[in-house]
Amino acid sequence: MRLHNHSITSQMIFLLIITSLFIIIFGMLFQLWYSINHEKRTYIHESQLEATLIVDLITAPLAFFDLQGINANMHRLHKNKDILMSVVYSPDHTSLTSFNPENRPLPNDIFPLGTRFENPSSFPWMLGSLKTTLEIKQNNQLLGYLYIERETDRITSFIVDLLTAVTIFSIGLILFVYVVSRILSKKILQPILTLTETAKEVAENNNYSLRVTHNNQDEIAYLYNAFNHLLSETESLTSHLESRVAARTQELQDSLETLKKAQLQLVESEKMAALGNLVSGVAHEVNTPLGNAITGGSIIVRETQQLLRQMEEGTLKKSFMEQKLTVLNETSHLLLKSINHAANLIRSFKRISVDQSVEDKQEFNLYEYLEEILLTFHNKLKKIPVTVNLEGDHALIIKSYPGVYAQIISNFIQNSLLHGFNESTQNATITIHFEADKHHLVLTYTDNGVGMDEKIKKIAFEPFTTTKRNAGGTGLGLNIVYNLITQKLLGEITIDTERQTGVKFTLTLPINLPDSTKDFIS
Amino acid sequence: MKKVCITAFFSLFYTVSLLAVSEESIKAAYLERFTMFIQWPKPVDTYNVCIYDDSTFAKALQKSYSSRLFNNHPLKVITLNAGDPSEEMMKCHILYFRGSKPHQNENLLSNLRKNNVLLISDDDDDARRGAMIGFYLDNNMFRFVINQRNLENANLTVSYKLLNFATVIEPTGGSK
Repeated sequence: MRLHNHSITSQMIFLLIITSLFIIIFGMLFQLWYSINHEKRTYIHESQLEATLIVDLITAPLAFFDLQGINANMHRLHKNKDILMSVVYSPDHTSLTSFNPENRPLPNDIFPLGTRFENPSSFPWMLGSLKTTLEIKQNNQLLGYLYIERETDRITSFIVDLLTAVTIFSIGLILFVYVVSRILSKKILQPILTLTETAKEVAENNNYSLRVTHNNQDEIAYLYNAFNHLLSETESLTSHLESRVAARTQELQDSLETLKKAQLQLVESEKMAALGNLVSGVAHEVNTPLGNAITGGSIIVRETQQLLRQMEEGTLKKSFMEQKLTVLNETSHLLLKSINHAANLIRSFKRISVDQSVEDKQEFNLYEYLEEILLTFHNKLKKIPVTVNLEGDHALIIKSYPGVYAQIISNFIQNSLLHGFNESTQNATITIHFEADKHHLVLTYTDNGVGMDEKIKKIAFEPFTTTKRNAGGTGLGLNIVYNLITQKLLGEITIDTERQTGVKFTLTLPINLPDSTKDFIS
Repeated sequence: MKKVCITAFFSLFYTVSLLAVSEESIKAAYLERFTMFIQWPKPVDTYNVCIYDDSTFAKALQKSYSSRLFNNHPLKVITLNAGDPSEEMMKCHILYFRGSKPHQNENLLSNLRKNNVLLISDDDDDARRGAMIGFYLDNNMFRFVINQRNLENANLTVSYKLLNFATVIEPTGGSK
């Protein structure tokens, strides 16, 4: 029987009845055992007393050979209906006289001495007969034996009566226990069952307005109060939940908007920073040819003024004129060369800056374009100094976003300059190598700086990862690079670095970018 | 009835079967039985049973207990003849008047009582005088009368079993 599958009420009643049954059975068995033994002992004791009394009464008649006297005393046993027979034997076991109302055959063997049950049946309440054999002695002289045999119907009927009474009592007790169990279970369990029903309804219908009530101030009342409190709390929470969810959603949306704005601002900042670098590079590179041009121009002005003054004074000599014209010619050439150089520089810078701001796909020579990018960093690279090796097919033409390439390489160079190289770096070198097959371009960017440790390497492409936030790093550089490569250029990037061994970025990019690509920036 | 009684006597009293089944033999057996139920104040080594004026009975009694004990003790049967000095009587545990009997004056009786002598007489009327036990015949059975007061006066203790069986005169209420 799987008790735990039944209701608590059934379990309680079942357990109470089982417990009562055990108690009743053990109690009944003990009571039976004790009563039967007590009855048997009493019966034996009574028999022995009676036999002793008879022995006392017949000792003298036996001693003086008075059978009438013996019979007269034995006749007293008539009153006792339990006596089956009573026989007096001589010391040599010859029967002298007997009281034998049912004319039973006299026993041949009357020993052992004492009292014992004989011929009991297998039923414990059928004890057979009780036999008593006593010596009749006077002054240590054996005069004979008294043998008394009794039936044990009295004990049997006592046991049967006891069994009947105990059985009736047990049945009554079980019924009583059952009724008490029902009443108890109703009294104790009903509140719990009510609570269960309420909890079930709450669970099924989400009706948190339900309440349970209990009149007495007992443990059930505490339970009910706690349950009601829980329900009211849940009701309150549930009613405010939607508004709170809406408020939290709005807060999250606001936060998201703020984050998007911040992200855009940061991206813009990166672009501005890149442009700032470009401008400073431009200013520095153009400064030299322009300075040369100014020097040339001032030489031309001075030499021309000298010629004009001598012409006005009329002291101009042919040799002096030839000398000055030669100077003027050389200076003019120098001036022209410098201005041309400046013009070339500005053209390049213009092209790069325009490429970064105007997102048009176009065909371009990768090697030359990379050279122009490197040119914008010429001044900064020279300062450390850094040797830059550009390796690849000089004639390779690709179709892509040159501005994106510029931004990517600029970021790499900025990272190498800012993070990779420090005072301890010997022979700082940056190598940009590219090679192409029919469809793909594999470009590697390598420096021999300090590299990254494993922890930084793992999160290198995640936004806001920087080791120099205090020095103005935004932590967006490589994240933007990653997004540009994967989303704008539809390529892949891997990083290979260890501490103190530099860093190597490997970019795998399509040579000809399909026309329909997503605009990452927008 | 007498036959039955005699048969019973035989079967019961197998130890005295050498004696003829007669009044004498029954009374001889009774003498031993009395010693089973009566206690003398002093421990008994040998029962001195005095038979007054019946040497035949005395001899028969002595003979019947020659090879066995008399209530677990040796038996010495003393024959007293009529006219013997009364001092002889004082040595007896039991003094059984068989034939004649001496004049039972108070002095003799007092001395006998002092010496704890159990007086038995064939005349039950003697029990009403100085004897303790007196035989009588009732319905062909030898029965006896016990004078409990005389027994007590002689400092002899009698069992309640015997008192319960015998005809008691002058009961005192005391027994053992």
